[in-house]
Amino acid sequence: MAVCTTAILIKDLCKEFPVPFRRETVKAVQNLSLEVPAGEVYGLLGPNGSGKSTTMKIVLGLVRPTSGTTAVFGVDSRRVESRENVGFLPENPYFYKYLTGLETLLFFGKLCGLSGRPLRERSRALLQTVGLEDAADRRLGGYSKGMLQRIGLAQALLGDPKLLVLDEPTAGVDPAGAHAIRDLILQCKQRGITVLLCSHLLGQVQEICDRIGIMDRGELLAEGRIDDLAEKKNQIELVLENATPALLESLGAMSRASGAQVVSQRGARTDLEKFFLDVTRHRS
Amino acid sequence: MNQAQNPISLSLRRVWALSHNTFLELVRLKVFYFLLLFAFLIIGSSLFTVQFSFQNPLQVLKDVGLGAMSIFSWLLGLLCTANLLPKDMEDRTLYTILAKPVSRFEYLQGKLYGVFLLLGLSVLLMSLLFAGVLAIREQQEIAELARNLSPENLPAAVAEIRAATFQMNLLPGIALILLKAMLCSTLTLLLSTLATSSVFTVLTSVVVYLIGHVQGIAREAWLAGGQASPLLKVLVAGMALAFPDLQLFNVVDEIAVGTALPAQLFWQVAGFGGLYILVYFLLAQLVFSTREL
Amino acid sequence: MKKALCIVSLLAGFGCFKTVAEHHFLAVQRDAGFQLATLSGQIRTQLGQTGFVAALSGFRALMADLLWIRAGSAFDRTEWPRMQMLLHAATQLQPRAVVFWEMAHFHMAYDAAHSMRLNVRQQPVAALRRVAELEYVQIGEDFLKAGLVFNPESAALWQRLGELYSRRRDDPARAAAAFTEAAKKPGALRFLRRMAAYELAKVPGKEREAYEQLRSLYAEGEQERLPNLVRLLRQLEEKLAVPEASRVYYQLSAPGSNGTQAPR
Repeated sequence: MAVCTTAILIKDLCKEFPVPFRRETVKAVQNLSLEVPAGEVYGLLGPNGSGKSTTMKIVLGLVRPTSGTTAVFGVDSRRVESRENVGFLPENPYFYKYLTGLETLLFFGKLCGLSGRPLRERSRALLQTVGLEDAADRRLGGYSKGMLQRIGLAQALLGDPKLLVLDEPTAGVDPAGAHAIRDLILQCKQRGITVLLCSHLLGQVQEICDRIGIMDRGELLAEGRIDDLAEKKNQIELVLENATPALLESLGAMSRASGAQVVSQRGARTDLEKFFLDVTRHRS
Repeated sequence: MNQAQNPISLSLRRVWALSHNTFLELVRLKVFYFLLLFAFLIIGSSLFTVQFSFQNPLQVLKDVGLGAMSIFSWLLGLLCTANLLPKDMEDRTLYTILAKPVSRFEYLQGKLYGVFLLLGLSVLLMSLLFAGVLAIREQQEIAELARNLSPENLPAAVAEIRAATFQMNLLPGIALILLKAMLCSTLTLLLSTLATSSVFTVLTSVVVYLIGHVQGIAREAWLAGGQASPLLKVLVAGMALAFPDLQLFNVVDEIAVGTALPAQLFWQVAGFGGLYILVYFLLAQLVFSTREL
Repeated sequence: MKKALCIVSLLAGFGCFKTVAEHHFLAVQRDAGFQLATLSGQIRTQLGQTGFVAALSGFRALMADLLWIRAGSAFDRTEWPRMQMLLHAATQLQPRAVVFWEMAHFHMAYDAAHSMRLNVRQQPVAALRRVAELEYVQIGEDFLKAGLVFNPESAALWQRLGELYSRRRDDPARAAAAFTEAAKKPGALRFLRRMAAYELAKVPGKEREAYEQLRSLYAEGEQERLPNLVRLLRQLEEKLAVPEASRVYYQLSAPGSNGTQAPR
């Protein structure tokens, strides 16, 4: 059987929601077409109400499109089989409070078709991966926000998916937790798992994603590699260490002589997130 | 339509996982404990409230016990089922579940079977308490007889008392109480797939329950014809066609006073109840399969 | 729209099928002795709105018990007409409960009737007191007959009817007929055949028939050879001038009884 190299294929997707008691409709998605190759991390960005969540739900088969098609690894999203290789982490996931971390994974694992010892072993391994092995027997009602996100990620990874769909995976999570989740996503990427990521935290998207698509009012406004999209065409950044004032002066003069312009010059700064993590890591 | 293009894939293991999880969720609800506690209180207290003149205390005990079982099993099914879908939708747990290779058909089945498990357990617990209360009362009655009757007359009187307490005949009656509660729960599930709030579901379910018990009167009046106005005829016909006849499942009152329920009749009514459950569930699936989440 | 049509069609089709099926099931259940309760306006008056709704909702047995409790209060206050209405409503709700019919008839035909007879204060005229007494006896009889419509195989109700005809109507013919019916029913007590024969013996022109019944009972053995039966047999043999050779030789079933010790 030919291996499908396109993880997500969306063609001319439209979704309209009827407004109750009125003849009008709300166009949530309009003529959206995009393709996510297998193994890529794709960021779907956009303001609130842009249609990202609706698009995601259609890809997952939770919502029917008004027109157009979506396919996951070549299988129509409307079919249950399309979800066999998909893991999903919803925004602000809420699980059953009375279940422990391990029980939660066992429950979702059974839904993925796993059972018995393989399921138990996989659940424990995932709990270790997401750093929750000590909280495995604690009820989810006692979990923090970050822990809930991590257990959500673990259940998304249970079925050994080839596609991960993550909706705001680091929303409401502290920097350390967000950093851990980001590392996990990068590990998934290294393992060849395709990731579809929706997030408002553009800094994180910039670090993780290979390509992004920007939506607004149901339409895809821009799409491409981050480097290509964010690149300032006629500007170069140059970071120097131990540069003397004289060197800086001569560089400035050379630039002016060749028709270039020094736009800005300032001391380089470390990333605030890195600084925070360094401080808190040393303390702990 | 989502599921119409695929064959409905039944995975017993997934359905069982969902049922088991639903059952665990429901037994942790406060309403479950309150209702069960009230049922136990009423059944238990009937031991002490039978000091009425003219009345056979065992009869009162049976009427109270079976009445409590009937009302509480229905209430439990109603309150537990009405909030199942809205809660999952509000918490977005529904998305996490349906994002797995789980069809909406399997999801609904799992939810419903979880409720059925809960109802079965509740009716079993109430039946055990009921049998215990009857046994205690039986002993009290026999002790009273032993004090007042001569030894040669005692065995016949004791046999009469024993025959009047827990007869095996009551079991099919209790089974039909459980079946009625399951039918009402399935109907509540159907209403919740149509409704947007659990309050609306509860209210309409209560109305359907009440109408279901008088539907037989309306149906017989409609079939008998008569001089009623056209509007009344339409109303009565609507009631007959749209609502289930829940009174058909209330046979335990007569069983309690000694009427035997023929096996064939029991299986016919049980089969009919099963058909009702199937139809209501299929309707719920039809609605839910294309509902926007 | 297509799906809505599908749902409506399924509901309508199932509705038609189930209406016919439910009608059939109701008839079958009624034949088997179920679903016989009727909910009349009188019951609505007795139960009140909430109670009536409860009765409609399938709690007829409980509502019947409630009416019995109220009947008890009416008994304490000797409010016989009100008690009659409450008992009537209770039996309508639970027509298969034989004990309800039995108790209802007893309170009317005995308690209420007796109360009428003694009610000198409110009714000084003896003849009118007697009329009122007989009215309540009739009400008691009506209860039993209504109960037998729903429970035709009840030995207890037939027995009570026989007792009523014997004690309250002084009608041995009807009493004998009722006891005979009672004796045929499942669970009938042994003595009912004797009672039927005793009553039949009181009916002019039926002595021979009674005698034959008593002879066949005597022939069954010791358990039937009770003093009353033996005495009545002798009396009938004398009355009917049964030839000596055909008479039954009898033994007393217990020493010291007041029969006659006759040679075997």
